[in-house]
Amino acid sequence: MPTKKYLKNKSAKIERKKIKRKNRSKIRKFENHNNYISKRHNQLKLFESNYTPPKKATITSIFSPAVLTLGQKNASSTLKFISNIKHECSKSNRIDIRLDHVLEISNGAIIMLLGVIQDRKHFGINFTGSFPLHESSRESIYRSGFMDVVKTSQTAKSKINSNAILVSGAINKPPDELYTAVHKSMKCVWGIEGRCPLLCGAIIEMIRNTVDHAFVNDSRSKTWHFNVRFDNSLNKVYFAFSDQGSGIIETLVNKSSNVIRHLFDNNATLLYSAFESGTDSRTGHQWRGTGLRTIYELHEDGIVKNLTIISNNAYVSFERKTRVVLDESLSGTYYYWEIDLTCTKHVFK
Amino acid sequence: MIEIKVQTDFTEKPGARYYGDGEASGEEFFDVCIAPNLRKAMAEDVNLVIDFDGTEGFPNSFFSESFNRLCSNFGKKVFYERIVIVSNEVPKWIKIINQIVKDYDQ
Repeated sequence: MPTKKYLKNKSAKIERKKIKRKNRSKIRKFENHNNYISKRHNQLKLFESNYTPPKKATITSIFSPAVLTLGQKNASSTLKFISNIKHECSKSNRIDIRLDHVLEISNGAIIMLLGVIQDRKHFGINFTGSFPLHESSRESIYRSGFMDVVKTSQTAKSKINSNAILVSGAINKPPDELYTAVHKSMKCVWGIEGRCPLLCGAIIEMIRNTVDHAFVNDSRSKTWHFNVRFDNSLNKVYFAFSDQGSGIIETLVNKSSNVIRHLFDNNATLLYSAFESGTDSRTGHQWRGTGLRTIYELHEDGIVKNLTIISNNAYVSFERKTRVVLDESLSGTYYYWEIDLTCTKHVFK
Repeated sequence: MIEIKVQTDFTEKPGARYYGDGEASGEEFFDVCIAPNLRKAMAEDVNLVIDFDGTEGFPNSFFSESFNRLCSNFGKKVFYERIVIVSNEVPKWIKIINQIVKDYDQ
């Protein structure tokens, strides 16, 4: 028979064990809590080190010059305005384009502006704007399809949406909409909705060059925009193609390890020669394969008129045989041309 | 005579130079159409007619790649002896192709 003392000790032991177990559990809980706190503390530290405050919803207003055209005289100020828009897009997420004081605006400038806006909208930038007070400039803007792209505080509606087509892409193969746009443009000028093989061949070269000129690891620079505007009353179509890459001159200079630059007076002469000669006799440098000659031949064969190219700081107009170095440099390449009844008819059913 | 009608046998919407440039490239045209048909034409001792009419249009890089490959794989002589180019819609493409072959440097 266990004695009273033994029983007392036994129950005291059991009691002690219980207390120990309780304490252990408390300690474990405390340790777990401590671990949790330190873990959360570390997470907070990590979050604080990686934290960048969200971009403030800032609005930047950019005012257009009075003359917004791509002619030789005003191309620099137009490009400066467009460069400003591009520059501000990196700082603000809402851009207000003020066209109030525009007295003259060309189709080329509108199409170029639309290309830049469309491109930046892909990356989450919102645009608002105002229309020119000057009547004919306002009319040009209305007809351009500008309304579809930019929200305005004014209530006017775009008059002719169907008269403008904008095709964008970031791929090498042209989408079907591009061919549709070309077919429709033939209908507007020649009354026949059909193919224009030389024009399409040149546009494919432009698209291919976009990939060649794109910046490495920058998907944005592979995007291209093709704009078409129809003027049925004049049987005239305005075209523009733009990309946001490094530009033709930079690509040619890099390919030739800077040798080309020293062989020409300036970038504009270099650009003119690259298109006109295809293979340049002065340098023996093979530009075959860049497709630039194919694009120039559209002008030479009279398929298009008023072919104008801006790349980097060079401005070239083949119609007027103009080559000018601009004050402002454009990142990318911009082509503009027109087709009307004075051009060589090149259309097939 | 063996005939390749590009519009129906290959594509209505030709692409650019390499496979990497997208669908229906000049490189693909050589591999899929020119090379097998040219071998067949040589075996049968007949001409190979390539008809470029009816398409949306070719960039020069398409011609450059397919005909440079032809010269590199079969030689210029085979081009002059066996190939007949048809391009009624855009006759200058015949000139361009001839120039590419002429300029081909072995």
